[in-house]
Amino acid sequence: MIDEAFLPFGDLVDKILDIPGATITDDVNGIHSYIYEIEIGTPVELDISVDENGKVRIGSVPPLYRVNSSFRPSYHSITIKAEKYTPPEHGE
Amino acid sequence: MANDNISWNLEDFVDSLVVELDKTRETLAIKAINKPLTYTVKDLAIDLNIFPTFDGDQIRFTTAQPGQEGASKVNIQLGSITDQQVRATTKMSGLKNDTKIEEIGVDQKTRNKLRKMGVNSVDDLQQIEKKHVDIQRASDNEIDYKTLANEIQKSRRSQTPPRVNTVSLSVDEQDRPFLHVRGENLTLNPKYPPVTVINHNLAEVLEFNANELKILLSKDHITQAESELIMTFDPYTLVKMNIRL
Repeated sequence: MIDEAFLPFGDLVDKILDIPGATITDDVNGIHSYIYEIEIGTPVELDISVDENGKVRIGSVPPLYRVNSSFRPSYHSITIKAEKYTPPEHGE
Repeated sequence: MANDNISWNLEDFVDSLVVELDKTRETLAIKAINKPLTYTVKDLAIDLNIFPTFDGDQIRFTTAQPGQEGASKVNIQLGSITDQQVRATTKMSGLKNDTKIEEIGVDQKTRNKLRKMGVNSVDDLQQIEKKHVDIQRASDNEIDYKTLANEIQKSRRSQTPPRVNTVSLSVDEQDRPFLHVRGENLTLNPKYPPVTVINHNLAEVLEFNANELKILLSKDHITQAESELIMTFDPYTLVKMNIRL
């Protein structure tokens, strides 16, 4: 079981890629832009546990505190390169 | 943390990582219905602070905990791969007649040694044999090839077990009585002729093939109403049954 303070890794990726304001509209000049590719890097805390069946569970959370302290979490890091999703045609 | 910091191996970690990424992909199609601008992961890199340990056979990793210093760093990069690339670089696994090395009765040491050599199934082993590679020599005599080959044969035979459908009494052209055994997968390898015993007396096999067996009967065999018939079709199969003559 993942520590309750952590999210399953897939959920973290989902949240990172849920980008508000990905469409930029300039009404004055009539220009519409959108982000078609993005690269995001962030330190993360990970809770890697092994369940009773030997399956590895990856819990993850972005850094919670912005205050420097003598006892620091171990920050791992992830870099995600994502691109605009185009649904497959004809239900492929 | 709620769990003890148990060590894990890289393969299991990457498997879980891929499962998590697959989940995000699966929900993407649904999400895209109402939100046209959604993003799919193209590449993912992950830097882990870990403490590696080696138990003499496998390298395992323990995740660095808060306050722990001096951890090693491992960088994993997952990139997109096209279907065509998957086909070109992946061996088809799970074929119907392919037997995994775990399924044959070899010891753990041999299994590990074979795995290190990239042999995960009987089919992999056959591919190596085709190239005339002496596995025993390649493994510095750590793999006893004779035992391994024997276990493979045994495993293959267990996939096609013999089945007896009927046993009847008949007479041949010379009026000699014989037992006619009909079934499936009886004698599959002509190298091993079947051996039969009736009531503790060896009986001569007149004819044999995969579907039938003709066993010559003599007075010594018919000593009681219910007789015990034992048949071996090769070193890996033995059929024992009681018949009324």
